[in-house]
Amino acid sequence: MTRTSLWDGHVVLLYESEQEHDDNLAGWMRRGFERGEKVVVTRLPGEPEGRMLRLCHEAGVDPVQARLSRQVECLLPAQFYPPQRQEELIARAFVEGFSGVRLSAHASTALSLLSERGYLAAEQAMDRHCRNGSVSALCAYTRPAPSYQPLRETLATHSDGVRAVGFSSWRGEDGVLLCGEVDLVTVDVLAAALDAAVGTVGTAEELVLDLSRLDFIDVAGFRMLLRATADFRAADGRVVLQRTQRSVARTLRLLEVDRAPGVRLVDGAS
Amino acid sequence: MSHIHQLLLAGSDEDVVASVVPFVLEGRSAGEPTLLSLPSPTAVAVRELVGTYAGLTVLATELTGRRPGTDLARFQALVQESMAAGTRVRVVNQIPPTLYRDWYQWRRYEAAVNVVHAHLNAWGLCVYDARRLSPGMVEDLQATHPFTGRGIDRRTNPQYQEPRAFCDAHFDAPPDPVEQTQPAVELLDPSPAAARAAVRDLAGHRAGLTDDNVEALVLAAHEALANAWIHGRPPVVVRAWAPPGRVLVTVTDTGRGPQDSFLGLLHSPDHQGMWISHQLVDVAHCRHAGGYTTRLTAPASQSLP
Repeated sequence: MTRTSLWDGHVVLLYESEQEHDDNLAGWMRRGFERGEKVVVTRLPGEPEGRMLRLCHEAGVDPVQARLSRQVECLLPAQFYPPQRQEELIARAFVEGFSGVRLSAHASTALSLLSERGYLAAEQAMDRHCRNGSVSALCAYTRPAPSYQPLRETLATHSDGVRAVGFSSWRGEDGVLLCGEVDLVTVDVLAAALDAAVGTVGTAEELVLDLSRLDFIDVAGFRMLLRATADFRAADGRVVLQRTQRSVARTLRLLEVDRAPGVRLVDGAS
Repeated sequence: MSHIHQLLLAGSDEDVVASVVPFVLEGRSAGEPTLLSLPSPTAVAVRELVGTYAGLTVLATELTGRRPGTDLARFQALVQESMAAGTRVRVVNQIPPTLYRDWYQWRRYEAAVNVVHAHLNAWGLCVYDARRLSPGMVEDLQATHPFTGRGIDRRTNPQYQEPRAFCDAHFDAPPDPVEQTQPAVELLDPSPAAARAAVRDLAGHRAGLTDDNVEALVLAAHEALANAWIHGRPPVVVRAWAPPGRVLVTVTDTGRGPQDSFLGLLHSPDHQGMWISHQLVDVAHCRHAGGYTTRLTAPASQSLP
């Protein structure tokens, strides 16, 4: 399914500072308000609700009014995470007459309430909900992105991509778009994005990576691109790099990334 | 099957022609493909005397962006292509004297050829115009070529030095005079993104380099900074200058610098960043009392091949 905004669908936000988290969350909330959706956010136990009210304000709505009309709901993790609870929240939003619903939570709070397996199951269920186009979910993780296998698997359930400062991925019309710059600071985000991207296609299929908005990638970034897709390619999956910018195409040719098994470069700039 | 790396010191253009013609003709009768990379008047004279035949390839010499890294990769690819026939390949190469300006790079190149091209079944004849060489340059050439002699007349060179030892002793480049002047950019411990933005701004907006050269310099500066972060010691300082005709970036850390004096010339999976920088821009290394500096230079006008 094609998404029209960076903030729609099932996406991961990788953040380093509270400020970074709040700035992104405000943008994500604004998108929901613009679409007339219900916005459900979680807060940490003991965290004042004032922060959410401030974010509402930043997102362009009157916080008091939004609370009264039930367009914004601010829940504690214990109210958000029991199994089935998210499905109830989604169903209720439609009963209340909203055109859609979006939910946001911190991975760290989820893991304090659910087992890793339980959390993976919850994220897989959420990814299914998000495919109908009127449900969106933003799952916030602190950076660096977890490399621990079960968590990495969970991160990969976010089929609409990964957002972080400097780099993001999202599902576009012609494949998975990689946007921004990849360097030693954002290379973990690329790894998370590729895990998620591989999850959008089946085994032995073609994963199209649209590089038209990838402005910079360093040598370590290309090494990660090959490593993160190695299992997929070893299982007869093919990675197609398309609409590559000229300087990025030059780098990948010099590094012979286009000659790696299972990698193909198409309509890259000459 | 072996690699022969031979120095031909010529006293004149006629001298070059007189030595190269028998070398090419011998190759022709032995059925060995020959690659000729000589300045055009000499190349034309040689071709008139040897004739045109299928095994002879005349290469352009005045390529833009020609530097040790690109030459090593280019000749390796060309020789491997010609070797496909299963015979030895002959190469005659005269580096254009205009490139002698960066002699510190080319003497490392000549030493590295002995290692990088060791697996090639090739007889390479490196032609130098003795009139354009200082005694020190002649010494460097004697130290880096295992063979000398006028073409087919080939002798083992007693002055030849083990290439890694030569590169160790000649790793450090002299500073560029512009480094003594006030830099246009000076950043202390910058993030890679901040360093890239500063280089892009100076090279692209202020100095007006071509987009290709801007991005080449940005990548090379970024890789040097990444190396400084990973292998070097903080603080790391990035400086940049934009004198007429070129843009220079230096990345300095307080560590001891790389231990591998072939760094960037040998294609190794562990040092791809430095290798790719050598393909894209001029790279100079300098270990000094304050630490280690990598200097990257991109020209203002030329575009990359």
